[in-house]
Amino acid sequence: MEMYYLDGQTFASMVKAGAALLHSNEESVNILNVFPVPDGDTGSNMAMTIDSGVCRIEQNETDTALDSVSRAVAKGMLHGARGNSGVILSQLFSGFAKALDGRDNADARTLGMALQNGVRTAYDAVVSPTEGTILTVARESVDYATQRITENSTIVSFFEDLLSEMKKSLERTPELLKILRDGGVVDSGGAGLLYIIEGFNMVLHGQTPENALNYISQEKKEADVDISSFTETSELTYGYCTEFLLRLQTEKKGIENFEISQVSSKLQALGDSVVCFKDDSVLKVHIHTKKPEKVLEFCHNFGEFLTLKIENMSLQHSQTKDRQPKESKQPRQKYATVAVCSGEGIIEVFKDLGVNEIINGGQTNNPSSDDFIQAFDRANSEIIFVLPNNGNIILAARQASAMYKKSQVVVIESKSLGDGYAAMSGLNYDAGDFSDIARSMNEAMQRVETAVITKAIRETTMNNIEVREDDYIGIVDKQIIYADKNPLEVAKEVMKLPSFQDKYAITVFSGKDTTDTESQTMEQFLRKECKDAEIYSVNGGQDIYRFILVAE
Amino acid sequence: MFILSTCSTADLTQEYLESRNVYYIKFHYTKDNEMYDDDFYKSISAEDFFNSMVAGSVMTTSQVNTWEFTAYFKTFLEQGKDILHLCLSSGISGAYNSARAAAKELSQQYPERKIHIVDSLCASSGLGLLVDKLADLRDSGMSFDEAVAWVEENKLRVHHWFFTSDLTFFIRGGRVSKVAGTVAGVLGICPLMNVSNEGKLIVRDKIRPKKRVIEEMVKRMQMYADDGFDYSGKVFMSHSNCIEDCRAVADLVEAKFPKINNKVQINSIGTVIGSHTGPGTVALFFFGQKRDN
Repeated sequence: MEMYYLDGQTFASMVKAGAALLHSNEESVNILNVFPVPDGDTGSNMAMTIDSGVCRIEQNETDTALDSVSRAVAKGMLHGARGNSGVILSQLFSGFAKALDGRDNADARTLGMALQNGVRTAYDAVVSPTEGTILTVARESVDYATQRITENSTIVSFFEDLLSEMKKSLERTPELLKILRDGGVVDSGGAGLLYIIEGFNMVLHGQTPENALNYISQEKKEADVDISSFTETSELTYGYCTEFLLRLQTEKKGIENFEISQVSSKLQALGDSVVCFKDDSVLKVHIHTKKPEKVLEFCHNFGEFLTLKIENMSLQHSQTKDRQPKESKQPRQKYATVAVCSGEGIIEVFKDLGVNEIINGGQTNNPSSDDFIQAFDRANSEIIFVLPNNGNIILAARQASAMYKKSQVVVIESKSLGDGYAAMSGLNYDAGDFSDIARSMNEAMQRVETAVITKAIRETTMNNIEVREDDYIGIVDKQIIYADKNPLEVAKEVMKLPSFQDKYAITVFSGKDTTDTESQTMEQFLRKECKDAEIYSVNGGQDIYRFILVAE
Repeated sequence: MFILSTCSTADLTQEYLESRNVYYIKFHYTKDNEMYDDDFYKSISAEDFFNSMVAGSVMTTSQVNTWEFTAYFKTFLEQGKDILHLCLSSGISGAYNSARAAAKELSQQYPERKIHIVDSLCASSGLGLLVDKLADLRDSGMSFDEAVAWVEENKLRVHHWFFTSDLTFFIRGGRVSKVAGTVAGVLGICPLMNVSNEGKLIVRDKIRPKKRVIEEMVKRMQMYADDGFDYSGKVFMSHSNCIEDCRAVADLVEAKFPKINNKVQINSIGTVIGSHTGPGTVALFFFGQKRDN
């Protein structure tokens, strides 16, 4: 039967499948990193972002109208957005959902218009959109699929067009962006989007991604349960939501002899909302029952449990986003500063410089908009300055600040640890009103240059620089500057860069895997090499980067 | 001729004050529960004073009380002299209140004499610079009333810019709030401060490292001094046991402001102000537009 209209229920399945497919390919998206350094996390960011959307549908399963499903997805994603690709993805879905307002279902033409609105919204969210990224991939494929729409278009044909052009557009991203060309990769955000749309298509073709079986949205797993809502005298009204994966065992009843219909009918007798299906030797069961022990005992006859979850359905699930901020004992402050950073030593320095609330995160662990919002709540202040300290976190910070109404939030666009370190070092709440304070932080960032030195995990050639595995590489402004077996040689070349000339101070943050001897050698080396600058050494404890050099 | 008087916290040398015919009242500090006079490092050298602070001696100061002011002023009144006393800023010390109370009492006892206490809103050699100027005006024949009018009108024209490369004592004394703490203290952050129009210490900026704050301080002088780089008045400086840093600023000032009156005059931050700053503070004083914040 041809499908001319997309309804909410199908869309919900599509989003879940898209999320599931992206999850199982998360790592392959993560390694689409222009640098031979294991710090890419676009795949994880996008997967966690769409997860938050899936979580909203799961809370909202009875509503089947397309507009309410897409609105729920969008809302969840806006809150859960992480990393620039995650924020862009959430804006795509948000624009899409807005355009579908008031519709129970939509034909291809309406979907095309809604997706175009999504693309526009995503472009608007980025201050200076870069072509050759997820934005381009979304725009080109949506334009193509929309132009192909005829009276005979079905939902399937529309999404097929979308997917086929998206693949081509993704392949073209290195033509548009030199850094991708140099790194020999396609855009990671675009690749993440492609997996989502592939998941959509699978559902439209009656398939399910392999891992859709055991796919439970990340947020659902992490949801907090308020156990005080079930007391000594409470009655078990709703029973237990029981979910598990079971590996059918040859030594038990055997896989060949296993009859899914038998199991299913037995389960129907034990409870309701039964979902039960088998994929190769894995059985997935979902049931609401007052006697989970009977269900487990029965199923245990066929195999061994892989995962198991039993939850009292009378308990209130409080998702992070709905959680009330803890009553603060501190009176509301005039000013507070929130910063994203990680590494024990770095966190200590930022706190010491006056940061009130730390969001633990960074290049390999981008915080979500919600992480920011919770930190804003904790900061409990009239005006909040935010330091994202990473180019890939700025959009999420801005999205969160736009969503936050309780305080005035000022995003100080620190693109690197060095930016944030300099801004905090210059922070002075007595400098005047909030714009004066922000200005002095921005001024402090003007004169900073940040370089990272770390070990390559694979060979590559970038910027005409040959990198061998285990070489130390120096990266400045998304460019590999030098590669060498000796980190000191790399530091030396970094310090020769014009942008690193005439600096008065260099702070060296040593990483988690950097030995004391290495740190001391680097410090002594810099003291000798940069005679005019003061050298400060901090045991930063950061991941991945052996050294972060901040020159001011 | 009237008596021109100030506090020992004007941080000039005893010899200089005497040469300018300026009288002074000594403040006190307490070191390890023993009280000493702020005596221009006659009884302890600046080096020993600050080294003992670093070694852990706890210095406290207490304001000069009304009784002391009364006794001090009385000697001049008994000689039939009028007194113009320039007192340490009320923004950092209670001495002004004590002095004013003393003056009020004495003006009843000596109704024919004039005594005026100026809340200078200045400190250290900034107060010194103001007193020095007033000594010039007095020597040029200015009357008591004219001098009072002039000083009240012009006291806010003395600019105080200073930085410290050692935050320890500013933090301990609570004189600097919301400033970098212990770890950051070793990361080269130097607060750049000034004295506000209310005579209080204000952190205006935090700058790393010392070399940059030295340049910034000279920039501030260019911004605020009368005639900018053509400034032709006197420049005073004071420092707490860090003559090299002070000299670096003075050299830069002398190079950039070729028209200044004489060379930069360098003094030691005395024991009383020094009890609060600790070592590592460099201060620069000059005349400019009235401080307005």
